[in-house]
This record gives sequence, structure tokens and C-alpha cells, in this order.
Amino acid sequence: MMKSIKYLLISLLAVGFVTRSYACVPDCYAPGGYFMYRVCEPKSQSENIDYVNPSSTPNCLEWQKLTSINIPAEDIYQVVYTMSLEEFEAIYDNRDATYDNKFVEWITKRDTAILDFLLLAKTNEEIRFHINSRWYYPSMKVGARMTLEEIAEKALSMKDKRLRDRYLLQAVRALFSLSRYKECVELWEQEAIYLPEDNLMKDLIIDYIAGAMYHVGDSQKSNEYFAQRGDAYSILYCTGRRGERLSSTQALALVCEYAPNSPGIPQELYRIIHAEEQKEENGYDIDENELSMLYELSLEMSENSKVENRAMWYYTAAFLADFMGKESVASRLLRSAENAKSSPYIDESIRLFRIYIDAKTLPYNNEYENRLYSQLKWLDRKIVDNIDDEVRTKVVEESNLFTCESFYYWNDMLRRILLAEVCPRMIRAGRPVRALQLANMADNYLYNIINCMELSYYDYEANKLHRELLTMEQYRYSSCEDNYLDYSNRFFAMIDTLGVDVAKAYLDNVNHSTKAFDKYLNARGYTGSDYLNDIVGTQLLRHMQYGEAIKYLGNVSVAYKNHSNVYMEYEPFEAEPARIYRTKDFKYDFACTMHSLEQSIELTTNPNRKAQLMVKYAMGLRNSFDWCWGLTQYFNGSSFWFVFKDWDCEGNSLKQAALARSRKIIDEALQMVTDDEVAAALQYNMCNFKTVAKKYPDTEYGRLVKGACDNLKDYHAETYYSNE
Amino acid sequence: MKRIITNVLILLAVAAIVVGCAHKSESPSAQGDDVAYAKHNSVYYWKTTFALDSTEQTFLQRHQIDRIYLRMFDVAVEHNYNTQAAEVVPIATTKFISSIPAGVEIVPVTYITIEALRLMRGKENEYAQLIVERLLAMCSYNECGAIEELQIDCDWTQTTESSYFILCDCVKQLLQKRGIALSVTIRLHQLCGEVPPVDRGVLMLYNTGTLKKYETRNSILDIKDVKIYVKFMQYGLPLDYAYPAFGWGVKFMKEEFVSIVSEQDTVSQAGEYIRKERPTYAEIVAVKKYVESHLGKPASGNILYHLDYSQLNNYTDDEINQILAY
Repeated sequence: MMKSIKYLLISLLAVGFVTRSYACVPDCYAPGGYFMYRVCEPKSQSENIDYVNPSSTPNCLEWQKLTSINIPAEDIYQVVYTMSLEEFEAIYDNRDATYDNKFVEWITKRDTAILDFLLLAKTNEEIRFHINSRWYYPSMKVGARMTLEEIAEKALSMKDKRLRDRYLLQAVRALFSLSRYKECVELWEQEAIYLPEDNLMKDLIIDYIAGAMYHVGDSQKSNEYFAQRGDAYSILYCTGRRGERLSSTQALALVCEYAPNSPGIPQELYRIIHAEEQKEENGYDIDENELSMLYELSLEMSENSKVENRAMWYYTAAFLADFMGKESVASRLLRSAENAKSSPYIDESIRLFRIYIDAKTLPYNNEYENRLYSQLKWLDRKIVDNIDDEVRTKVVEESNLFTCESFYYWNDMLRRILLAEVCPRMIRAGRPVRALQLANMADNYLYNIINCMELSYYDYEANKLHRELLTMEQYRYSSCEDNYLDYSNRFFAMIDTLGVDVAKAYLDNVNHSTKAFDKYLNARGYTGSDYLNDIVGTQLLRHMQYGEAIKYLGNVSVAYKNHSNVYMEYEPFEAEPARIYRTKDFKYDFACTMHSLEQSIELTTNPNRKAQLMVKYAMGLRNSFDWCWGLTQYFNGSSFWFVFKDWDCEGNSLKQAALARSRKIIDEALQMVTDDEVAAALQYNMCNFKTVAKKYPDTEYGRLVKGACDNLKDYHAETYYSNE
Repeated sequence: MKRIITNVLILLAVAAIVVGCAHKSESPSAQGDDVAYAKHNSVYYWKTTFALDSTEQTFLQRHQIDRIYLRMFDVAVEHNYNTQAAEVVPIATTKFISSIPAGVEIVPVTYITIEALRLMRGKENEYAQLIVERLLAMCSYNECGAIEELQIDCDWTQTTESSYFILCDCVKQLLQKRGIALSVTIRLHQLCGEVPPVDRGVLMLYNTGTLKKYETRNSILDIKDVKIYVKFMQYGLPLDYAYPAFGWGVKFMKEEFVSIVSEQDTVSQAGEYIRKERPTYAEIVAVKKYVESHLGKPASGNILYHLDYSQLNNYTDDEINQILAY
């Protein structure tokens, strides 16, 4: 999608006026919007059958393991979840037939034990479906081949180890439906409880056991089991509070009361807080009442001696305190979290949150920089160690870091902490170079590690989409695609706005720093000499410091100039847009010409010659901010696509000064001319045809204008391009 | 002991005489139907628990009541929290504590609310099956004996008539296969409308007036209300007649309806008024006479509404017999 938008925008740019910049692509979110709260891995949608992606439904994957990985999960899903009992019975009775569904083929030909099991399970479900209907009344016929009693008996008699856990679930379901609760509890205590913790069937059995325990009168145990499953409403039912409505936090509090260490608690905490984070990011009102209740619950649980992971609750309280704007309280609570009983997973979250809270609360001095250095080294390690194929693929194929879409937690956090918190404070603290280094790391570190980018473009000659994997270096020097990456990120936005002196200081730091933290940061950003020299050189052109610009632009290699982010199609010294062949060295050439003109103007004493040089210089100056704006800018306008609104580009403010200066130089030049032929030629070159005809009628250009006024568009050009 | 036996014998003798009276005035119904229906003394049972105490059992025997119209469940609309949709479901299913008395025929009855009927539109066949299956399953499970008739009670109106008739038709077809007749309750106002496609009807001669209206004299039974509908009427279905044998109080505050209360309730504050309603034997018999003179004798007998001895003992045995007599 992002690529589509990018291509659309680039296409729109392609119909632009003169010099074009492809530096910018949409940036959809602010770095401060990355979600930070972390007490568990977000529950995959695949665990919820409602969001069916058959290939990733855990039960289907389990069936795949039991049969063959060559059987598509979709085939398994179709049989297990969507096939009716009637359809399945038809297969059961015609097992010699050939079926398109590979799972059916497998269980009818190679593993009939599964066929038998599924018939039992489907019959069980069919009967239960009927009897769970409000219309059901005992003795109503349900049209199944077995009764629930027979199903329970058969399920309990099956000893096939592979399917034992599945038969146990069926037995429990049947017994529960028969109201034989005591037998359910016995089955649990004698066998099912010993299934491995991560056993999918055990997870499903426990819900029935909780209900069975309630029916046999063990309410305490029943509520504990319900709580372990995060089922607050069943607890309400069992405690005589049926019909009460609870907020998410009230439900969580109920769960905590009966099972303070329920494995479902982190997920629920994550769900509640993440929902509020999303609301804030999307500009909706957060539910302050709910958050306050959750904050109180977190404080209560963090002091509860029955809680095994008290650090998680302190961390949650700290997070909520910060979320509600109480940073110092958050810092204090985080300290408690750091000292409380925890788990390695929560320890990491706490450590990360400490980096964030420090960034928000500590004074920005050398001591903090040392602390930050050490903190970044830890975060750096987390980023490197946790990269997996999914992250790698996303970076390579989607390259959507610049949109601030979340896809890799540790790198998201690096970006959130540095870009949203540290960099702005560093700039305010008078450390803009450090801010640039940090922003560069936030933007580029992941690309540096992955060092791969997919280049895709449509090859019209071959009539196909071309895909190619490139290293970052190859990508940056490729002429096939515009390098939107380096000209749309936060670092670029920052270096383009902090001023040319900061940009120069940053480049100097990159080239000469000997300090460990500088070296560390510079090594993790993208500090290509061509890239940075081009930026500094361009800014110097913007500041009309042509002599110095030559130095920097001269350092930009020819190879880098091949990239076409900004290119020139018009002659920069003409009064009107005059198309020229594209030139790779246009910035450098322009700097040299302008610098040469400056020197010649200085040296020339002949007023007519001097005036001619001055007018050419003034034209170049004006055009470099006008239709040749690519000489001084990477984009034209006051917004950096969608995110950087009211972009305070120096080009915008400097443009007015440059145009004023250009007019002043022309005025001075015209005043110093002593030769009418020279004056007429200058006016003619500036398209001031009316002036030529009126003031210099007897000159060569005067006669030309008078004799060809039609061709000169009735002097209209004077309205548009005249400097008078 | 001897005295008890003597009393029982006397009672049985009296009962025999009374029953003899009840059956002596046999005559064909006025609906122009040649079918001869077996004659019954019947009673409605309209509670959520079927539990007959000894007085009620004796009452049945004493009055030779051999058929009970037993409400099994209501069909209503409920909100389903899972689907977040309104659905038609059975509610208030009768729980069986007592077994069915020997020699008593059960007619399972279901009451369908008007909201449920509206929601059934277009799916009448589906609900007909559910209703029939469930009623018969309840009868079978609770050993109600052979079922010869099934009854639907619904206060259908003109706007719901077509849907109701489709439902009745579907139910009738399902029952025909099993040799079971379908009857419906007919309210007085429904006498003026189309005749439902069923085998027979029970004309409800109770709740004839507007309960919540302050000016109503007796909402349970008032011959003036009956006359409005029954005068000059002929009806296209064999009809039995159901008469009230109950009473209550209707509480008003400043002429505004408040609630139904017990007959024994008294006013507790100024502005309050309790209208005591209980049709007298004379009123019931007057209605009976009027109805039979216009619509003819009942097709198979009269029905008392309803079997609750605390209510029935407000009438003498003879009065009950006279009401049931046909």
C-alpha cells in the first residue's frame, strides 16, 4: 500500500514544473505514537477462531503435525471446522472414494484412527449443539448415531496416545453435557491436569472443569479456574452476581481476586492499555476513569504478597502514571519495579521504560549522555539479537520505517525514545549535533543491520515488474529508483532545518570525532560522505556561500550524482525557463559559475562588463530559488508531504532574501551601464522588451523589438519575467 | 376411620349424581359441524410448575375432569448477548413435579407473544417445527400419555393474522401426520376476523374487558362485553368455551392502573383504589346461556380457567358442575 502511495505521489510529481525532487514520501505516524507497554507478546489473531486464517489456526497446525506438513491447513480447517456431521458421515461411509481434500484422503486411507475420532467429535458437537439450543427439551431427537453416554464411554476407552488428549476433551464435553460433573472433575484430577501446560486440549478442558467444579459445589476452586481463564462473567454467575455489567478493569480486578497469578492477566492488561494507547494516537479521548481504576488496581496488586510478578504491576502503575502525565511518580514506581520480584521478560520492559523515563526527566548534561550511551548499547543488543526473518522481510520488502508503522518492537522503541523524546530535548539543550547523530541512528540502524533493500520497478520494454535485491550501498547509488529513503526520514528533516552551521558541524563530527559515543552513534547512522556533503553543499548554495559550497559539492562522487532525486532540466542563468540536457554536476557547476562571477564582478572595473556579470549573477541567484529550486532545496513548498506541515525550510525564508538581493543587483547593474547597446542587450536578455523599444529605440535590439513585436508577444513577457 | 369412608362414599355418590347432570344435556354444537366430538370436562393449567396438590386432584375427580389444557411454555422474544440480535425462544417452560393423573388427557398449550409472532414472519415453518417438536418432546418426557390435540394461544391481530395463519397451517400439517388435532384460543374480538386454518377453537370467555381502564366494571367477565361480539355471530370452527373461575384485585392510583394484586389487598394510601373482580356464578351462567343460545353448545365441552384450588373454592361444587355442564 505504501509503495502504491509512493508511486502515486511520484507520478504526480512527474507532471511538475521544472526541477523535481523525489525526496519525500508520506509519513503517516509520529514517532511518539509507537506503542510501548509490554507485559506479554500480543495475542496473535490466529489464536482466535473468529479471525480465521486457516493456515495459522493452532488446532489446524496441531493436526498438521499429527498427519503431514504437506497437507494444506486450509484442507484441515475445512474438515475440522466447517464440515457438517452429515457430510462427514458420508465420507466415513465411503472411505474408498477419492477426495480432493488432502486431509480427507489421509484420514480415510492412511490414518483411520483420526477418522474415527473426528466422527465421534463431530457427533458430540452435533448433539451438544442441539441440546444447547433454547428449543431443546430432553427426549427431542437429534439425529445422531451415538448418544452422549456412548460418546463419553467410547472417548474414555480410547488409549491411543496420539489422540488421548483429544479424546479426553470429548469425554469431558459429553460428561458435562450429561451433567455428570463429578466425573468431569475426577477425569481432570486423575489425568487431564497432568497434560503439559502448553497442551491446547488442556486449555479447552479447563473451561469445562471450572463449570463442573461449580456444579459439584467447589465454588472456590471453580472461581480460581474461571479466573485463570480470565472469565470474570462466570465468576459473577457463580457468586450470585449474574447480570452485573463490568468494565474491563472491574472484570480484571475480579480475576485478580481469585487468581492473582492467572496467565491471562498480562494479556488483559495489554489489551486494556493498548486500547487506550491507540485512542490517544488516533486522537480520541482516553477513558481516564478506566485508567485510574487500572492504576489503583496496579498499585494494589504490586503490594499483594500472593502476586508472583509484582514488578509487572509496578511497571504497569509506572506506565499508567506517565501516560496520565505524572512523570516523577512514574520514575518512582519504576524504581520499585526495578527492585521487585520479576521475570526476565518484564525486566526487559522495565529497563526499556527506564531509558524512556530518564529521557523525559533527567537533565541533559554529560552525565546523562554517558547514561544514555550505556542504555543505547543495551537496546542496540536487543535490536540485533531479536531480528528474525519476519523483521528482515518487512525491512527488505516494505521499507516502511519512515511511516513510523510499528513492526519490530525494539527498533520501534529506539525510534520512539530517540526521535520523540531525546532529540527534541537535545536540540533545546544546545546539542544539535548529538540530536542529529541520535536521529540518524534511529532512522538507519535497522537498515544498516539488514543491509538489503528490494528494488522493484516496471520494466516497460520487458513488460513485467522487475524485482531486485540490493545492498543499501547499491540502492543508494542506483539510478533505477529514487532514493526516497534518505530524503524522507526524520534525520533528513532535522539536518535540513537546523541550519547550515549545524550541518557542517555534524559532518565535521562524522569525519573527525575521536570520542567513543560519537563514534558509536556515527557508526549506527548513515553517514555516507556523498550524502552528507551533498546536503551541506546544497545548504551553502541556499545561503549563497558559493565558494564554500564548491568544497563540499566537490566531495560528492560522480557515482552518487547518478541518483536522480533532484535533477536539473533548465538553464539557471536565463531570464526565462530554457530547457537543457540534464547534467549530473549541476549543483557543483552552478556553485563554480556563481563563485567565478562573484570574483569577476569584484575584479572588473569596466562598468558595462561589470553590469553584464552582475545581471547574470542576479539571474542565477533568482533562478536557484525559482524554477531551478533543486539547486538549493530538496523539495519545493511549505509542507513535507503529510507529516511536516508548515515546514520551516530555510529555502522558503531565504528565497525572499535571495529574490530581493537579485533585484537590487540588477538595479545596480543597470544604473552603472554607460553604453546604450549594452543596456539594450541586458534589457532584451531580461525580456524587458517594452523598455528596449521605449528607451533604446535606435540600438540594434531596439530596432529588432520594434520590427518584430508580434514575435515578441506584444511585449507581454515584461509582465512576467521583467526585473524592472 | 369409618366416618372418613362414609364421607368419601357420600362424596362419590354426590359426584356421580353431579356428573350425571353434567352429561345429561348432550346436544350437537351450533357450528353446523356434523363431527361428533367426545365430550369432556376440561380445565386449563396455567402455571410454570405442574404440581397438583391433593385438593386439586380431588377436584378433578369430583368433577370428572378428564382433560387438562396444560401450558408448556411461552414463545417470546429475547435478546441474545452472543449474537446481539433478538431471537424467538421458548421461555417459562413448565417444570413437572407431579405426574399426570390417570385417565386425564393432556392438551399441550403454548402461548405465543405478539412480538414473537412478528419476529417469526417469513420463518413460520421453521418455528412451527420447533414448537411441535418441543411440545411433543415435553409430553413424551413427562409421560403425558397419548396426545390427541395441541393448542396454540395467541392474541393475533389483523396485522399479524397472515403470519399466524401460516404458522397454524404449518403446525396443522405437522400434526396431521401424527393424527393430532390443532386447536387455538379465540378471543372475543377475533370472532369478527378470518377463521384460522385449524381443527377447532376454544372461545375465551374471560378477560373480556379492558383491565387497565379505570371505568371497566369487571375486566374478567362482563356480559355486556360478550354481547358486543357474540350477538348474531356464527363462527366457522367447532368451538368449546372457556369460563373463568378466578378473581383478583386491580389497583389504581388516581385512576391510573398500577398493578394486579390479590383480592385480599387493601388500599394503603389516599387516591388508591382496588377494583375487586371475580365473576359470580350467576354472571358466568348468564354468559354461558347467552353464548350457547347464539353459538350453540360447545363442540366437546366447557373448560374452566384455571386449575387452582385457592380460586376454585370460591365456587360450590354445584356451581362448578353447572358451569361445566353441556
